[in-house]
Amino acid sequence: MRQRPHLCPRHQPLGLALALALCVAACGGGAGGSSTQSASPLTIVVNAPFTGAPTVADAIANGVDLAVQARTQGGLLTAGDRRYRIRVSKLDDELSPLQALRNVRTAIDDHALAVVDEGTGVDASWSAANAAHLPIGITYQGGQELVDPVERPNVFRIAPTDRGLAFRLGEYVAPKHHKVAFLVDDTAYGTQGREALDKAWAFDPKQVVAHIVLPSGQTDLSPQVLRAQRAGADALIVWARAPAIASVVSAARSRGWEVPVYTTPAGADPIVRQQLAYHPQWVDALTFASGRMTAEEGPAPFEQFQQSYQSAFGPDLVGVKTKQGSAVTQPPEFAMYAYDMTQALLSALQTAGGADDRARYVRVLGATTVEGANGDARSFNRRNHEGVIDDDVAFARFHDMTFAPVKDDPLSASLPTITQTQ
Amino acid sequence: MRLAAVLACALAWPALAAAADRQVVLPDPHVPLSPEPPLSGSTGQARVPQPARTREVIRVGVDTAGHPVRVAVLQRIELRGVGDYEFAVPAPVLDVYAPAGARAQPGLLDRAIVWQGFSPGRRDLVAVATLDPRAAAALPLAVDVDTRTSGDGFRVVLTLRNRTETGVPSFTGRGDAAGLAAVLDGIRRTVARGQVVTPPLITADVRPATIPVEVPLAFRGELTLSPSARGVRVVGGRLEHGRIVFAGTAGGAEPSQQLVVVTGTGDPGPRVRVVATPVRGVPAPPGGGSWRDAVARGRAGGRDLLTASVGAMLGLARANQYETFLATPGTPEQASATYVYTTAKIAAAAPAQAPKPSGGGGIPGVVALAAALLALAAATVVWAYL
Repeated sequence: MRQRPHLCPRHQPLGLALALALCVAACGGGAGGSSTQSASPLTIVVNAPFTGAPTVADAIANGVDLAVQARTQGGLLTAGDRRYRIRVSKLDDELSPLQALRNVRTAIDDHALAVVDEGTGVDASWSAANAAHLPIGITYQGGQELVDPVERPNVFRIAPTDRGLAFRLGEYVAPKHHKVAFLVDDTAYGTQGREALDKAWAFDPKQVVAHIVLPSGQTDLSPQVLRAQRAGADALIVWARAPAIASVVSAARSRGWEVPVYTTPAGADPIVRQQLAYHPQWVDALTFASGRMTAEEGPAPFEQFQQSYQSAFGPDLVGVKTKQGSAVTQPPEFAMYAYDMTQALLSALQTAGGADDRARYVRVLGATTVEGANGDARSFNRRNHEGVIDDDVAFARFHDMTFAPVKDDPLSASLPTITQTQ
Repeated sequence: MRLAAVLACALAWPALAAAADRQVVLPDPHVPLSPEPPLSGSTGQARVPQPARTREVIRVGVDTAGHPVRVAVLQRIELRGVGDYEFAVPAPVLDVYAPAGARAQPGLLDRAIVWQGFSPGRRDLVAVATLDPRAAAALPLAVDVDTRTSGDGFRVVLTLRNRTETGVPSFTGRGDAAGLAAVLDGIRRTVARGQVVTPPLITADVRPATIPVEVPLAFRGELTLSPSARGVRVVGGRLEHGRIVFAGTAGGAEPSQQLVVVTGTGDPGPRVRVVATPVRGVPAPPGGGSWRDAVARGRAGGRDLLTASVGAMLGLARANQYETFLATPGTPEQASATYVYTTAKIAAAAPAQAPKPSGGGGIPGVVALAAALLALAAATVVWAYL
């Protein structure tokens, strides 16, 4: 750590005068002080796995940063008769619920405006946050129990829900008359996914020939894939973090098993393609479900957002190339959700007339509608704290390291392909 | 908007004066004849692929006298079409949820149920909404249970009253009998097929008139008495396995008010359940058959036919209103509503607590508390100056 230089004794009067001047300035500088100096600091905490899942965490943080830039003037925002300097604080939850809870407690101690959260540990942190009237906005995990407008009035989400993903997977996969195997990892993400899948397939549980758990950290998942094959599965539904998805694909394809693999948004994580970069053909036909990035009005709003995102942070390079040698980029889907959540948080701050009455702020947020970056409305109301509608889950399939919407699903067929190369 | 339609209808009235043998459009069955139903509330942008059918079950909890105390609606909207949907169902909603296993989840705004999503060609939206009990003012049927006892005997009178009648500014007169007979037969066929009726153009000599319109209500139900009731006699229903069952129609060709009278001894403790549905119908010609035959046989003239035609269209309009207690976006191909009235379990009001004796020797508690606070304030001042 760098040490502060000591003041020379002869500079002490000057130093004292300077300190006094700074104090006066910090206190508002009187009537002639600038508005910047009178702004109260207000923090939005990003609670995400910056070390455990950096692509997800960085996307969330970038989305928050971009929304603050877009909605404020140099970080300054007026709400009621108050001016706020909006700051973004990034705290690493290390994919640990305990650490996530510690981070939320830090946010409470700092009187943060809100926490934009990846979702890890919300089961543990929502209660303390609720007591402090601190909203938590989830922008990645979709577990159904995480959000409950009645029980957890301070928890909101803008991200596809597990329920929506599972129902849409059911709608899409079931008519193909596959015998499916569910492969879920043993994280909270996978466990919640398993529950959602079971509910979605409740109409025809006989279609499911195997439920297989993927141990976290196990790089070779051949035994689990072999079990699925021996159970007679002719389609795999993998609900797991990105490394496990890559391992499943790798295990199946290395055995020469060309089974169709369906996954969640984690299937689009760059890690999957990075791990399979030496066998790009293995990625082909991997299908994943995720929220649609473009609205019915067309791709223009999302493309504009993508352009702003890339101008601010540069393209998110996946780290692989197409056959033609073009570098593949990742569309900022989860950054978009964090952007929309932050827009909702700041919109509610203005509607509430400031952050003094935090209970009122949470109530106002619960009745907020903003236009999302892709043109879709993101709405919270008394019965629904979900900003992404279950119906808005679409399917995309990889080919040559980029993905395109599938054509055999009505919603997906209506969507354009997002540019993913440089 | 509905009020505007009613007003527009009223304003058009003078223009009809002295209209002899002119072409006029029969009333539009999709224009409501009164502000409610459908219930009013917040509205917003509406985007709907294609509403095919709506079904509603309106559950009304009534007290022992039959007065509504709770109103809830189960509304099922079937969308048939590909595309985004986004609309609000206006209503004085207190709460809303989707039944277990429902595919889409409703949202709740102030005075509206909100739906958003994508229909891949078929999407069923189901909501169970609890309404402000004041919504009962728009119900089509009034239920009244009058229970009287004298000595060991009792007399329970259940009255079902059709509340749908309204006077509508419209027209009467005489029309081209053959043309109107064809129109009426066409409307009957369309209604029988469950299809949407569009207002036809007719030739008639018309003059303004206020037409009373009522939608008949088919009802069936049961009245259950407490086990101690004995020697039960029933008028207007029949005793069946210890319950009084009844059925009929209130309104239309039948009286608008129907009674079920039960007498006996013991404690009656009556509980009712009534299921009522609006009857969508077109008048049949005298003697049956088709209107065209009736004209050929000389049983119906131009005046009767115009009255029947206007009445049929206004009757359909009234039925449409009560078949959509909650509004639906667009014009569904079919709509139906069933009203279920059931005696509700009402939590007994907590007995008022007797005032506790104050410890102040007869000084009321509030005065004692105020005195204590004043003493504390005085002590604080003294302490501050010590």
